[in-house]
Amino acid sequence: MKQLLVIRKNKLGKHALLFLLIFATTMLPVFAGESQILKKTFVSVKFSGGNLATAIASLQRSSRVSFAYDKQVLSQYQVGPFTVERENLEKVLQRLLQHKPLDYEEVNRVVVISKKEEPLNKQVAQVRREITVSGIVTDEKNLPLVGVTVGIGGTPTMTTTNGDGQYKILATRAEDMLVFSYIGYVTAHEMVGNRTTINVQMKPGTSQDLEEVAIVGFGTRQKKISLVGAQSTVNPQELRQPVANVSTMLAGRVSGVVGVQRSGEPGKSSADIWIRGIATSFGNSSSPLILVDGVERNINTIDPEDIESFTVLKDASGTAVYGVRGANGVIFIKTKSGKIGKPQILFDYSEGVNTFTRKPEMLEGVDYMNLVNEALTTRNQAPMFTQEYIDKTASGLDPYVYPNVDWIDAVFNKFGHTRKANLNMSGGVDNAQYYVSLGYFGESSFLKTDDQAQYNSALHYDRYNVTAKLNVNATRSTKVEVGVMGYFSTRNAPYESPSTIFGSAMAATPVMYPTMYPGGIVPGITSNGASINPYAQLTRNGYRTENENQLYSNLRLTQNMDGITPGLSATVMVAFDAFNSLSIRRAKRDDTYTVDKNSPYNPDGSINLQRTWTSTQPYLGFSKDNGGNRQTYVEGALNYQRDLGRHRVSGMLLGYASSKTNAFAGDITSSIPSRLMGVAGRATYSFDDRYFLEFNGGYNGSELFAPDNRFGFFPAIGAGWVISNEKFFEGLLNTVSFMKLRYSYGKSGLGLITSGSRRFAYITEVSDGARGYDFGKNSTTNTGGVVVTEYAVPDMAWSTSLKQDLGFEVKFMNNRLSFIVDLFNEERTGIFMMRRSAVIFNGLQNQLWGNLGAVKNRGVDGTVEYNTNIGEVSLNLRGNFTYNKDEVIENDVPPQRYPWLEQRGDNALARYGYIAEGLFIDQKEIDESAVPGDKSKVQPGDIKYKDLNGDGVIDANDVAKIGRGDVPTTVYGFGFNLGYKRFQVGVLFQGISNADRMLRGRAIMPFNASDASNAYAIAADRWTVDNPRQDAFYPRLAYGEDRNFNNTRASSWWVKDVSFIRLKTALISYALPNAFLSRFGIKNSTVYMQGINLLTWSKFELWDPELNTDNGISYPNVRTISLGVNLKF
Amino acid sequence: MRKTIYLFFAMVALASCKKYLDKLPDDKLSGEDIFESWQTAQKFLNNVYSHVPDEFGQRDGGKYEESDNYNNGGIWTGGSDEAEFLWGFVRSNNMNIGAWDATSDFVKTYWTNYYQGIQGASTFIRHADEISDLSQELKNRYKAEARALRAFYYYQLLRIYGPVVMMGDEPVDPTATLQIPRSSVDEMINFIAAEFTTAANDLPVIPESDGDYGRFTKGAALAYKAQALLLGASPLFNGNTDYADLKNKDGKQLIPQNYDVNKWKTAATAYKEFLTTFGSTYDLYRVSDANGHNAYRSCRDVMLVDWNVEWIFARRGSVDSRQYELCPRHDGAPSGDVKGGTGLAATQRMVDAFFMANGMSPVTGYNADGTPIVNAASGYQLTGFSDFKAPSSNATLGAKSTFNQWVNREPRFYVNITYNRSTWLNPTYPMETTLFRGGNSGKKADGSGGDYSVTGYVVRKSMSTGKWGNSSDHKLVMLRLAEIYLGYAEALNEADYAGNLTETLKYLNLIRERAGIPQYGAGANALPIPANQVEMRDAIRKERRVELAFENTRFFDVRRWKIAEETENGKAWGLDIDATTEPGFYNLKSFETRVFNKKHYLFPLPQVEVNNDVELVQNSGW
Repeated sequence: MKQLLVIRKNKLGKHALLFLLIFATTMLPVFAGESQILKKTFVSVKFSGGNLATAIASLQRSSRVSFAYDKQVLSQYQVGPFTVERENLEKVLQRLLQHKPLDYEEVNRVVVISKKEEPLNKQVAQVRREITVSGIVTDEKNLPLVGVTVGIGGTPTMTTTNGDGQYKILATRAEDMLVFSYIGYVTAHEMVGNRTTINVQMKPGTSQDLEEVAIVGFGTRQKKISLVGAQSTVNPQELRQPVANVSTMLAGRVSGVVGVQRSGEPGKSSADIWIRGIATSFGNSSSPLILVDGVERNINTIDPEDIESFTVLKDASGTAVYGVRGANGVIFIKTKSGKIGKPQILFDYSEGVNTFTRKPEMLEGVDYMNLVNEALTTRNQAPMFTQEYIDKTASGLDPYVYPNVDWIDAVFNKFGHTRKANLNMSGGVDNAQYYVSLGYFGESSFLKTDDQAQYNSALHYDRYNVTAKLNVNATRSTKVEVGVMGYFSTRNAPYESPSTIFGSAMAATPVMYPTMYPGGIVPGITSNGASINPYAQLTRNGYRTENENQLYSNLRLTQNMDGITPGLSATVMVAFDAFNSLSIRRAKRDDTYTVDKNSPYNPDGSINLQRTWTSTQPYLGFSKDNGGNRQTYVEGALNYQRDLGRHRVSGMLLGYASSKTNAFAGDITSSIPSRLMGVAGRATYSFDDRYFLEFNGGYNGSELFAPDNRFGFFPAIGAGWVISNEKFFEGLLNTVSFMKLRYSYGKSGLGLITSGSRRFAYITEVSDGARGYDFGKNSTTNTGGVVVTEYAVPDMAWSTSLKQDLGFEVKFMNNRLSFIVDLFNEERTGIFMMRRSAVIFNGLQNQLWGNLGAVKNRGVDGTVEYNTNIGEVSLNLRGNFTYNKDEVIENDVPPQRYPWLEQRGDNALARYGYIAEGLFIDQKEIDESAVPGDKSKVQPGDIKYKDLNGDGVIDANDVAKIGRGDVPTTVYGFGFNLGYKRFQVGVLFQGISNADRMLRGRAIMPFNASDASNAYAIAADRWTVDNPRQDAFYPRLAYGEDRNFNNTRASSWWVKDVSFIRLKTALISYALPNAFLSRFGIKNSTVYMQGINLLTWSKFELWDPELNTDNGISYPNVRTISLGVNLKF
Repeated sequence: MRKTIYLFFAMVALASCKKYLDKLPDDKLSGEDIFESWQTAQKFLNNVYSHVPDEFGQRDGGKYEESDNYNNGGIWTGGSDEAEFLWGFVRSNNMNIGAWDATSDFVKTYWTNYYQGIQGASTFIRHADEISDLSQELKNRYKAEARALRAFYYYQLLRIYGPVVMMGDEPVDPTATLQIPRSSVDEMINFIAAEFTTAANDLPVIPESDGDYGRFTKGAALAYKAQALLLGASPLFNGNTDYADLKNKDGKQLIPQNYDVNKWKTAATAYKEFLTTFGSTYDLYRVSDANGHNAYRSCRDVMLVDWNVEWIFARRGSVDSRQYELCPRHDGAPSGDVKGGTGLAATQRMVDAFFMANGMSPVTGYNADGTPIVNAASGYQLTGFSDFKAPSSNATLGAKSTFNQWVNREPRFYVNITYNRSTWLNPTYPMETTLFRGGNSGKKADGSGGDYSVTGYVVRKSMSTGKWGNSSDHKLVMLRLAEIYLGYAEALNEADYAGNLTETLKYLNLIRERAGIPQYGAGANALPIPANQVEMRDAIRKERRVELAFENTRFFDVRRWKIAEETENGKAWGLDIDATTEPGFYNLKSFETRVFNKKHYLFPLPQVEVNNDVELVQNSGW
């Protein structure tokens, strides 16, 4: 608020303040100011002589103004050498056209040079002449473009193309300029001349263009050339994939985003994403701020069809305005709204088949028994299975008594299913436009169901998205936008979670019991309920249904205030979101039985079953959970944009407040709404499209901080230099068409304290739910406990992030080949964490918190793109990469005994353990070496660890960094789009490198449990006495936790590289000939086939390398192949 | 004028901003409110009590997770030569094989638990007088309870870690950066003894009402005072030159280097004071039936009858998890009441320690290969089977074939040990528990699943005679009179064998008499009186091991006596549970090799503390 009082000293500030107060609670973006190119553009040109056409061309190059002219006409006139230095474009033109029968005019930001007409004749001609111009507008694939706006420059005459891309318009003069505009395409200009048919092929709007705009913080539009910060965008088209969650499609598609998909489970398949990696630690959130239409919302439940633009703000110039929310980067998603034109109906439908990218391979029964026996007998224990038992199992003749079950096959089907549909309609007239969309996404899983069950436990997920947008010009200067979005989803699933079932399927040995006994009797072994039958867990234990409903609404009012001062506008936005969820669980559990191995058959020949578990819940029980929250957001802003000659200035001043309430809070503290409020400002200045300067600032705070310490100021500055617009660069333009350098430096913060840490750290917390104590002689009573859980940290604040970014952009070959590279450096200090330097003997329940941690993050990201057309073939090649190196600078841990114990300097998620030196060769080596536990149980073939401090014991003093963790340093993607006639092929490869995982837990550590457990088939790749290989996957096998103790320690032996490259997506589409479809009212249609996660190359082959599991017990990622059709009506 | 208007709006906006974010949870209990009323102050005191260890919770004992989620149950039963847990996650299993160090979680757990209790007690003592709705007398009593608890927690720290940091009388300032050196053993013992004495002055002899059972009483305070003095007199802390180098940075010796026999005398005096003061309050628990004194029932039920006359201090414990470990798996049992987890196995050495019915030790020592040296005079048979009816057997059942090692043992053997083919103690389900491979509670015949005993024996003491996990207020006894008798006898013998012989024998024999076995130099079938201090020491230690088996004293006793290098080191023994035939099961087999070095007499101090407090010296060897 302090800023406001400072700003009000100048004139601009007064208005800003006034409007801030009027819309006290809220605010918004704007851009205004009709440019008068001729008057405001200054050029410097050195022309060595030639015809007028070449002279104008060089003017065009140096001024970056678009000209339209008839080359044949102009090349008739000769022009002598001339030099202008910073001269007004209009004056230069006047001079050039002097004494020539030519005239100039500025039409829609295009300077049109045309034949001069006699004033008298002109009048007559206008009355008399009417030229009907018609033609067809096509896209880059030569397919008709529907709904393209075709206008005549400088006049209100306007039409749109019909379903066949055809238009017809009446021009009045040969000099009339037809302007073709369509979202996502470069606006095309054509002078009528003496033509009556003008066909236009429009180019997608990816090339650098003066008019191209970018979305910056708070959704404000800014000319792309003027950006001083690092931001990248994703073409929303690319996000249209048959997946539930957009977040899974980001990695490898956009530079600076690190993403990993952790699960493929329907309804739970979102990805973890980070912007430029992780720059924090100690349990603080490292997730970016995700804004949908300016409000913090969930990225994953948006229908990709509804996304208009997707922007990632990576550096301080983009994130400073978000203050205490911005340090982890910002993703800004803007959804579609209506466009002027005839109603346009689009329908897209696809149907897909899912398979596992990789399925765990477990040991088959006979192999299992042989390996178990080996693990036992080679360690002086009795074998578990007799040869007779093994032979009977192998014969398969008596599957109830000697079962051999592949549990993975028993619980999983081979295929899952995906269905996706979207129907949307948009259109509008001058004063009102609309966009409505209805989307559906459905996915079913691989989990089997049982025909005998009386209820539906199939795992499937269905989601319906609805979007409605309306834009109305309430008055000539007032625009109103209303948007309502939402979804409702249903997830039906077995009562037991898929990971539980999966875990049981890996734990159950193949020879434990059959899937079912005759008559649907459930097999099970132990009386205490352990060793649960996975198939029964899947099909017999009930089901759960989870429903979610979400409503997002936005109302925005934009007022043009040119009346006060040209270029000024104000906007106010209010958003209201509501979410609720309901989860119903119906659990049951059947009695379990097992065959009496001593007398497997009854006299009548039936199987002799003994009951091992008596159910207390043999019928479906009932329980439920509710969840929900409400969020309100208000924003009000003043925007100013003005071009003054070669100087261009803009400003924004914005205030906002948000409040989010947990509707089902469990305690007082969490029932208090999370609130944020702040002011953000931006000022930009550019000179001659060569030099750019920008200031961004945020001043904001939240209820998390002490009243005296609540608000922080987060400034950022940035500068850009378009070198290619310099005069000295002119000679290079034929090779290097564009070159820009930019730099930004600034501050953002992070005050979002994640769960598990402290909210309201500035007050002392007393728990009255602490441990109590039971008193009483016979019966006891416990009146509960009270304890001071946390002492106040009055000066607690947000963590502060200083970000620097140096960017370099260059384009070659007339913009066909482009490179963008950004170097970044971030220093995060004051990371909120519990004191680690405090002694425990102070007796506190929890150590005090403080802004103590520091992390540094450096790296580089970049993009390369190449577009070309060879004959009828259009080709787009692109690639991007992100590399970052994070480093803990301060962790509040005192000096350690040994240097390898020091964790400063390691990355935030580094992995620690013993260093494995190999496998013991003989007993002598064991006798001479240190081991972590009972040496008498260690044998040749077990893992030998490095005794780092040489004290003869392997213990915590021998723990060193052994891995980086599962978040990669490097993420990259590359691919191409190829178009030929009606065919289009697109492919994207995605990869990560420098990530690892440490294997541990059930099944992946063979036979390491007090009760039985299966092992991966790779257990066959092991050290044996007969084949003592150091390169075996497993050391000598052992049975039971005590005998496995040495080998199951966290160590580098188990650290596995999970780098991979995968064919992430592939698309092939074919546009059907129009003639065929038009009789059905379909103007345009495309059929396509799409694949996700088609191929994966990785050294790690046990399970999908992206999964967040150390032993593979996690619902796998899926490969999807789908067939779809896209129709335009 | 316009400026003024703007300024006005600006101020309104500012004010409303402030309010918008002012959403303090102000209706919550704050730090200052706690001691305003007894209603919340008593809950604070409850929380101070909650640091009394739950020794039935030893399966997860020592578990430590961030944010106050730890289990203060000890790891003393499975961590001593008495027993072994089956499950790999149990922390005593790591300790037994030497796989632990200053960073192990349980090392931090007990340290954290007791210091939190100390801080809580000091806070209560400091603020109790602020309670507005409580009489001064009660305030004094509750302050005395807090004081006794604080001394109790220091006593626990001392026996686990050796001398530690003492925090003084006032609560710690939470924001302070503490750099405090360790105190010496003598300073700690003196403080603990003095504090128990002070507390005892304001404590009642017996709880005022039934609802007050479990609170510190005068008896509990004075009993623990004697226990602390006994600890201070013991070889570990009395002239233990192995710790000559354990000094603070200023050279202060932490463990006394000169043996002082008077410490035993002081301890004996404290025990005597207790026995004199509470002679009519406490007594050994006895059950009689038609045949007179029933030793088996007495020794079994002293653990099961809550707050019987022998109990001095007790708390409610995790009965469910303990009894699940004690109850065998019992495949095929007709009821879940008798189907447990078989998780806590008694070692062969513990089994050997129980006397014969004639009061003699069956085993006098062990050969280098681990086999026992049988005391021929005791009548103990290593092999063969006899028809035998155990006192634990159901009254309606007759004698049955029993392995000779388990025949004619003393009643406490049958109270403590579930052995192969013994009868389960739930009279409704008199099952036979079979512990060999393929037996109803042994390893499964096909090796699949199942909880089993790693030694072929299961611990039985404290097991309910009803269903397992019958937690209907079955308490955990922390200190009972038998331990006081044995402590007193030990202190007397160490102070002066000859001078105290009569008194020593009196209390030692009281234990034996109740256990139903012949006494030394008195009663029927009397055994000879131990002839000298060494023999008497041996007799007292054997008695203590048996009487207090599985009651968390053995772990500390072998350390106190400095004999752990023999008892806790090397191969640990059980029966051959992997044998594929039942006869093979009866063979002796080692289940693991335990590691105990000199450094293991004391826990290390948590590494993080040594790192964070530059004044803190680590225990020798760690």
